[in-house]
Order: sequence, then C-alpha cells, then structure tokens
Amino acid sequence: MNLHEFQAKQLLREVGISVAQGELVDSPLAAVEAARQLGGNQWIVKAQVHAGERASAGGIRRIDDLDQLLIFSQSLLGKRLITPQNAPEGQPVSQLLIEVPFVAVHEYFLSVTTAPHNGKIIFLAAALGMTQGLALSNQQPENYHCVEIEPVAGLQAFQCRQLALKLGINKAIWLDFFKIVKSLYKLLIDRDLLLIELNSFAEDSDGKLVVLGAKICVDDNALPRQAKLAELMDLSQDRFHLHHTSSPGLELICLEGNIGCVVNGTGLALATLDMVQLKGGSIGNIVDVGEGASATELAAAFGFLWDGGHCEAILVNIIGGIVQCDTVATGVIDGLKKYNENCQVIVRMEGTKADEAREQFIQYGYGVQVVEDFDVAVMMAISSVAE
Amino acid sequence: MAILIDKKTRVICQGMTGAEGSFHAAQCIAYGTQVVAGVTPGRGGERHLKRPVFDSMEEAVAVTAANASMIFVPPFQAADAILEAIDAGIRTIVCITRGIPVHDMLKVKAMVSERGVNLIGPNCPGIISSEECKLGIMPGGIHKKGSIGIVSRADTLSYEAVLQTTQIGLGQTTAVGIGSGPIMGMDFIDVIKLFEKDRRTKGIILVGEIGGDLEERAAQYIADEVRKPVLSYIAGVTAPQGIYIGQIGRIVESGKGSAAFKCAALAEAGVEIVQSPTELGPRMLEYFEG
Repeated sequence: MNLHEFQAKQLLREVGISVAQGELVDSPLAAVEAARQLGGNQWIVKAQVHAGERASAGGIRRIDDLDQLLIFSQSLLGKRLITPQNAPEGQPVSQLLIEVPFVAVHEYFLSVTTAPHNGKIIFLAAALGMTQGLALSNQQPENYHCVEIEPVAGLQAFQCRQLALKLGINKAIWLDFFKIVKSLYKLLIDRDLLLIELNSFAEDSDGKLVVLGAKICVDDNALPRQAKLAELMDLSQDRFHLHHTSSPGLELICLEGNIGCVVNGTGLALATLDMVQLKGGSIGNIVDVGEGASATELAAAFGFLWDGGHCEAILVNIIGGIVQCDTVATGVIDGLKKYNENCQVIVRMEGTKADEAREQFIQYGYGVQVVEDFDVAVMMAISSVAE
Repeated sequence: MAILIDKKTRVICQGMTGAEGSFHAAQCIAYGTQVVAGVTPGRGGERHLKRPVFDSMEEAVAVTAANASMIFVPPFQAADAILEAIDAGIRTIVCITRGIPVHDMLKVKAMVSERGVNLIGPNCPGIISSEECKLGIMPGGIHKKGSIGIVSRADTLSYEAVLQTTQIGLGQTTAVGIGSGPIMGMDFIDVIKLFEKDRRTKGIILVGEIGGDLEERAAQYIADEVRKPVLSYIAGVTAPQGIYIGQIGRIVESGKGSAAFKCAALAEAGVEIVQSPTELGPRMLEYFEG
C-alpha cells in the first residue's frame, strides 16, 4: 500500500524529522487561504497522487502569485493527473499540498527499503544537484551509495558514518544526520514499511536538515497490526481496486477476450491464459478462487466474468488441493443460475473431490461439458466461441 | 531415495488443532506420513487426530524425536512458529501460511541461513516424496513413485507437472512447491542442487512464472553445475505487459522478469523449454526413450 506525500511527511514529523512547512487543502479557495496563512510570496503546489514523476506531468509547480495559485489549483483538483508512472489512466487529484519553498545549499536522496532478494535492509543515498524539490534528477547508478543492514543486528553507528561520508555531509551536522538515519530505520521496522524514500532532503545555510519530498510504501500483509496506517488507505488511487473483492481468497483479473475463466492459483491462471492464446483463442476476465473462497463468494463474484461484455463461454480449470473441487462446482453452478444459465461452460477438474464435482456438473446439465484433459478443454473452449 | 523427506521422516504439525491444520494433517496421515505430534501453545496434554498435542516444540521434539515440521498457523504467529522449530533443532520446515509480513520474514531468513535450515515456503503448497511422505496441501492421489524431481514456484502448476509425469508413467521422486512469497526459504537452486545429487532422480522439471529473477538465477546454476536433463515451463508467455495478478503485481513492465527473458536465460543454460504445461510429460518421456 502506498501513502500520499502528505501522509508520509506526517509519519516523518511524528518521529521528529523536520519536513517542509505546508498545508493540505481540498479546494482552490482553501489553497489560496493556506498560502496566505503560510505567508511569504512563493509557494509550491503539489498534487497528491500515488505516483512519481509528478513534476514532469504538471502536478507540481512553484507559484508566486495568488491568482495563479487559484487557477492552477482549479486545473488540478477533481481532475486525473497522468504521469509516466500511472499512464494511461492516471489517478484522481482530490488534495493539494501547499508548501513554503526551502532555500537549500545541498540536496540529497536517501531511501531505506527491505530487499527480498537477499533478506537485508538497504539504505540508498546520493548527493543531488539543486532540484529545489521540484524534479527527480536523473542520477547515474554509480552515484548511488548502498549500505546493507543485517536485520538481526540492526543499524550500526558505523553505517550511519558511512552514509554521512559517502554523501559528504558537513561534519558539523553529523549528529543531526545520524538522528534522521536512525529514525528512518526505526520507523521502517516499527510500522512495517517496505520503503521510505526521501527525494529529496535538504540542508539550508544554517545547517538545518529538512525533508522536501517523501514516499512511503506499507506492507499490505501487516495492515491488520498497523491499524493507524490501514486508515490511510486511499482506494481512489488504486487502478485495480475495482477488481479486488471483499473475499480475501478471491482474485479477479480483467482481460478483454471472449473466454471467461475460473481457475485456482496464479500459476494456473497464467498457464490457462498461455494455452488458450497460443492456440488462437482469447481469454477474457478471470476469477481466481485462490485457495479458500467459499461457494457463496464464488457465486457472488460470477457476474465479473461478463464485465465488459466480451464473455461468450467459460472455461473452468481447477486442480484441487487446498481448494476442494466440489466447493468450486457448487459456486460455479450457483453463479450460472444467478447470471447466465445457458452460457457454454467447459469444465476440467482434477485433484481433491474432483469426482464429486464432475458428478454435480453432469447433474446440472445445461451448457456444461465436462472433460478430463487440459488440452481438450482448451480446444473445446476455443471452438465453442468460434461457432 | 527422495530428497528432504521420506517414509522415515517424523513430522510435527504446528497448528494441528486449527481448521486448516486439522484437515491437512489428516490428509497427510492418510497419505502415510508419520505425523507424530501436534503443537498448539495452550493445548498441551490434549490428543488430536489420535496424536499427542504439546505446548512447545521443545517438548514435542524431546518426546517424539521428530525431525521435520509442517506449519499451519496464522500469518502473525508464523515467524515465531518457524523460529521455535529451528530452536528445537528441526532442520526441515514447511510453512504453508501465506501473508506473513516482510519484516517478520527478514528475521526468519537470517536465522535460516545461519543454522543451515531447509525452509520450504512460506506461502507454498509444501513438499511430497511420492508414496512415502507428504508435508503440505497438494492432492496426494495424483502422485506416483518414479524418477522425476519437480520444483515449482506456482502452486497449482506443480500439480499439473505431477499429473503429467504420473499419467505418462515416469512418476516423481519428490515434488517441491517453493512458494511465491517476497521472502522465501529454499529457492530453485537449493532444490535443484539436491535433485542433482539424488541417485533416483533422473530428470528435473522446473516450473516458473513471470516476475522476479529466481528462474534467471537458477539458469546460471544449471549451466555451471547440473548434468541431469532439465525441462522447464514458464507460465505467462502470453500475459499482457503490466498485467496485475496477485503477488506478481505489476513487476512485469519491462523486459526483465518477463517469460521471454526467463526462457532465453534457461535455454542458454541448456534447459529445454516447453510452450505448454501439457507437454511436460511427453517431452520428458521422449528424452528417456531417445
């Protein structure tokens, strides 16, 4: 789960890290009012969406006139911002962060992330040019310094010094810098975060360190024990949220072909997709019953197969294990009764309780054909829509 | 011979008294697995599935001399269960639980590496040595004792590979579902290393899927170290770029991690690639019959 920039900055503030001074607003008039309250004669307006490269997409701008600020706010709020990272649909902008520009003498990139490939926690750091928090500078990979933390030993003092030396942090402010590094590490662990990225954090002429841009990703699996973070979820930003369902076991995959599928497991979903498409067919929406959906949940989700209006036949391909074939059969039959009794259905089932399931389908009749072989099932599904 | 587990393996089921633990432990027992005890903290002294239940792994291992564990506990208790099994001296651990937080698994991963533990999973179907021992949730009936070692990342697809090799008469030594969590125990390389050493395993099937780089790394290892024939199917050849499927997420947005990329790496390592999972059985048979 991603957080908005303003939410990330709030978390950083809570652990004592200074962030750029700013206000969150949800209307153009409130934006102008916030700018007045913040004072000064220049402001940075930042659209709050869950995507990077906002500046190049016109979602972040430095403005020195309140009328312009009003017009710019109107142009963003209620619209979708399309950046290179969320194209082509973009994401809706419902909030803006109005910030006071920070006069920096040095800017840095600093991130800390879990590294699944080697089981470590990694800090990445780079000294940046002067971006003024407006743009990602396209740094070369060799400019990034990497410090690996052993999760069991935790962050060590020498590793903080390594980061400071590699970034060329002024020794007069080392202690302040170490405090930030330690706070980031603790925050990552305490709140079950997968990534904290400061892009950038800056030093002013008095040696004060302030975060100008921040991004945080939370581990979805940990949300039940991070209740406060779970409240920050913004479903409007999730391009795929329409396809999630209330039942955790069930996964819905949206495709545009005319053969709808019911499968169990990601691998089988992909293999079924390959088999049908390599033989000239075209897969439509897929319902993956995963490893635990009940018959009622499956039947309720059945309408999804016809979303988009492409589905002409259904291929049920199940290899029971933790999922029991008879449960899936009940769900499929109830789903058909509810949505489209006469739809052509080709069923291939193996594994736990497959015999019982096949029997259920034979009893049900209608457009259901039960076959024993993956290849045959695929060919029949393709020919049934070709007719 | 088989790898990691056989008919002599003595198994404790952590979480045996729960709904999933009960169902699958009973299936494993029916398959012939020597499930010698269950562990559920607070339920020590009870009997479940005609086996003793203990409060701790330490007690359970002391009494039963078990040497493997199968874990069905909820996600937030799973890391603790794995670490408790390691502490009790267990060196073959199968964790079926899915949805374990990454930070919990980071600690587990460190301990697993340090103690030389064979951890399978989490978020996996488990491991089965055909007609000898099953630690997991796979349908036992499709397995047949034979000569092929199967290792798979995708759950149900490993069943498909098993079905293929059974129907064609080759059968399996051991099938391992390594799972698809972000942080896992044994990977393709760890399992293939054991298959290469196992005398009864004559051929190896590797079933991969799009996303990540496990298959690419396995390819390098196979090229350097493996003499036995390796056959592979990678799921997702025709998946549209940016497709969003479960844990695979949107990783597959550039060339890296795509099926084409993985197939090329494996082919270069001398692995034969099949385009459809239904070719796995026939192609393996062809290899042995010349």
